[in-house]
Amino acid sequence: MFALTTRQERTDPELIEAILAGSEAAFATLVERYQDRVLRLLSRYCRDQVECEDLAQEVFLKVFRKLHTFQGDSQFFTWLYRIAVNAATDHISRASTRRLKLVEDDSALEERNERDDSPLAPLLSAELAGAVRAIVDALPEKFRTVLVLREYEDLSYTEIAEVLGVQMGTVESRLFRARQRVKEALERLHPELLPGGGDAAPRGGPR
Amino acid sequence: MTLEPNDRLLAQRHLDGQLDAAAAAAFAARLRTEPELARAVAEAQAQRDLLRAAAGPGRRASPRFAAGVVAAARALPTRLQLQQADAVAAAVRTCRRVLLAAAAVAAVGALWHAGLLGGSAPATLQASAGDVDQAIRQLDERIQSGAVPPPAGERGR
Repeated sequence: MFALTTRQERTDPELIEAILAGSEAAFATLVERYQDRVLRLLSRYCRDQVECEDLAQEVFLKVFRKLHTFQGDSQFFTWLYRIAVNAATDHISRASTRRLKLVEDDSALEERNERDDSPLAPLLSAELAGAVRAIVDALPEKFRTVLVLREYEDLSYTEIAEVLGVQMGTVESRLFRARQRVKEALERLHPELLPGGGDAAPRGGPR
Repeated sequence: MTLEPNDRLLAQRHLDGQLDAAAAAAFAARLRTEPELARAVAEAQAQRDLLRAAAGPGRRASPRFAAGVVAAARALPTRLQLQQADAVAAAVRTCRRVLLAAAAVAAVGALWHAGLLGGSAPATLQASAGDVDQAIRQLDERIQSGAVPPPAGERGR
């Protein structure tokens, strides 16, 4: 992999070295490389595009300010994710009075469902999608974050442990409990969404 | 019939691709012969599909996002200034901790000196021989009156 890297595709350590030497272009490249991943992660905690981009900018500026403290003993993206997760949880606690949702506007939901390649996506109405997201949203923070990192960001247990600064066993345990809570909430609130759980299939359109 | 907690954890590891090759092969073999386990895995997979479908792919950065971040970074202090600020902040934190520790030690010392930490209390219990005799008499009277059961060695005598 490393040998195939072209000159235009500098590795993260090369970019970091260049940024620390004062290269603005290297910082721009680093931001462009990770902006969509950071936005995708933060969009699990923010309401709209503007709020997400403001928070993402805050994350990248913190990365810029603290880059000289990055030790390089872990992958850069896990360090970046740690900053992003901390920013998101701070953001939630700051905005706790206005009860953040994963996404609130229906137009964005429809846009998402159109772009989603998941086999269930076309079958899930915006209303039910919102209900499922609300269940995840209502989880205690430590369960919600581990679920977001695993289910939506597809991070391995090791990577999640690095991002959260916890042991692998803790990741596994939190993930188990998070899924259990989601299952219980679905059984209680929307049994029709579970396999063999009811007559109403999760089809699109109003119920 | 319900699954053992250990099997549920195994199912989770299987779903998350966290089993090594040998464990994955053994688990796959069990799935073929244990319908309850296979059902649990299928349900967990269905729940994952549901969560992912509900969440959607997430947002993407707008075209001018990176340029905006770089412009904002340009307004920050220079790298050297940032490093110096970090060093100063670390020094202030260290000084604060040292001062807090010193204050805590001084406070404990003052309390001890004032005898408020029990430093001046006698290390052993002290009572006169008359007091001890009186306490024993009172205890005997209470045992005889039945208010207090006699010691185990005294029972049945």
